[in-house]
Amino acid sequence: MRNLFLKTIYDKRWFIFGWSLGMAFFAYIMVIFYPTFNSGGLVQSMLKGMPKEWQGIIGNLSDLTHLSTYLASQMFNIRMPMFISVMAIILAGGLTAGEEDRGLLRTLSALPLSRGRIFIHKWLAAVAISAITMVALIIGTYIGSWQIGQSIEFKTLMILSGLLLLMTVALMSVIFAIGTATGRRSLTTAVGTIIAVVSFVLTTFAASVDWLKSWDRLSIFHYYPAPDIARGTVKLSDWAVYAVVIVAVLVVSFVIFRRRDLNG
Amino acid sequence: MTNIVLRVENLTKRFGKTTAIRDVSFKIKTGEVVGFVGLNGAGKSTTINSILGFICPSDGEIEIFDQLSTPTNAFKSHQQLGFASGDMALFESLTGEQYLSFALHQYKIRDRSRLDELIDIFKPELAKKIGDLSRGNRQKVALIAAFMASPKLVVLDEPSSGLDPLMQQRFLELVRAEQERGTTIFMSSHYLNEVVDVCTRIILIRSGQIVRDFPAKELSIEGGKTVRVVSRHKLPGLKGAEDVKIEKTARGTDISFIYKGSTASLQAWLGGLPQLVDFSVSDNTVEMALEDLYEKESS
Repeated sequence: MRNLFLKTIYDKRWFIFGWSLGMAFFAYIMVIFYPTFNSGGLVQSMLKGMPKEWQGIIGNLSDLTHLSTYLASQMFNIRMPMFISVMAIILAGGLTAGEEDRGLLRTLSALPLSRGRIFIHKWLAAVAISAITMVALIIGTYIGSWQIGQSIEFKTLMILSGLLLLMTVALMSVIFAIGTATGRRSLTTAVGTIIAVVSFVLTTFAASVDWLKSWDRLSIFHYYPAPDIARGTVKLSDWAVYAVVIVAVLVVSFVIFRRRDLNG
Repeated sequence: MTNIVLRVENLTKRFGKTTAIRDVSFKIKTGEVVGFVGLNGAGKSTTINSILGFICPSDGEIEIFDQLSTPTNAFKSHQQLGFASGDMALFESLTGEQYLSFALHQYKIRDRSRLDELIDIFKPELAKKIGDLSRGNRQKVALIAAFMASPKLVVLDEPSSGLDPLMQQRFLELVRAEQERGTTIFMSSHYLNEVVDVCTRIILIRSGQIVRDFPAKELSIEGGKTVRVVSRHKLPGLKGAEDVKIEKTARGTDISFIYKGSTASLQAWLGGLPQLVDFSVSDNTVEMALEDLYEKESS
């Protein structure tokens, strides 16, 4: 543990283990259920009978014909972003306002560590943890596809996972920024939760509720169109939006964090 | 470079409408051990937090090792500054050994000899996770971390709280040894006896303002003795007796007073008293002396 980055990874080892296992297991379960969805019959007739307003959650039935589009609509779209939002809120909130609340930020600041270095190492550690869980998701997907004897295109899975990672980092950076700029845990958790829930509602129901369509751009999930990616449409503007959000919130919070009073 | 290690000039810190400290100024020279004393809420921790760069002063300046210190650049002086507080939060998922090793790396020190010396003095339980340690053992880890990089300046906020009497004694011995090595120490403490025991100078803070800055030896002299005499006869006067209280009891006249004169004069006076029923002489505690000082300064 030579530096704060490694110490943070070590500190969070059980968090990493738990979330990686959870993501891998979730992906594995979703993949091994694919033959049931794909075989028609009861599941498809049940899905057809659902109201139109729930289309955003269920996804397009035509997507169920291929493993990659099935995973994109049933796992990567909405469900995985929501799952990952919970992780981002806990992780970024805990590393920033959580540690400050417990007085640990003062302990670090008493060492010859600049606030800038503390900020960067913690953020990099959060990004690395997100990346590790994404690798676990990919591994779980491959194990499941191997078990059901189906293959998933490597490039598609990489783009789906890559943009999901960028979305996670963007959401995590927003929460991280609030945590470092204010040091207030309740505010950090509340804003993170509001972003995730509002994004879920907007993106889920915008597909079938007309007046929500214009508001959908405010959703952080809007720029992660997993079914479109699986069908071969990759928009660089989606990647750019997340990149701009990350840079903007980090720059502002970095400037504030270096000068403000530490709590605890 | 001057021999002023720490210079605090007109330091003011406001939290909203509340002014926690106002125009706090003092200088600390190399090798001084300065006790920073005041009641709860007097402004001790706010001053220390400003010195360490945890909080940003509303007004005034802090210079450490001749360099202006702000929250943005305070880490530079921390290379030669150690800090421990009584309620210091440590990373509970790490063992004591892991935490000290991590902290040592931040000072970019590879030589563990000083760390091993300190471990030998305090004998903390380093193999256990910090979260499983008693308060005393956590405090030992925090104190070791403060001194392990052989800093030129050590800032301590209630450093011995949580330590048992034996460890408290070892801590005081460490402070004396550090003073001999030329280390400058700035410490606040609730245990005023330890302040008098090791400090060369005392700074008294009250309601956010420095009310007195004086050599520590003055405090023990000012403390004086409490004398209590019970006699059936009228007693002669004693020069230097203050705060005299007289009470008639069944045993005789019970007189108590504070005496700040010479011990020889007191001895002579007691020896000349006829038919004493009872008497006692005790040193005033540092707490009493400080209370006295506080009252004097506020009046």
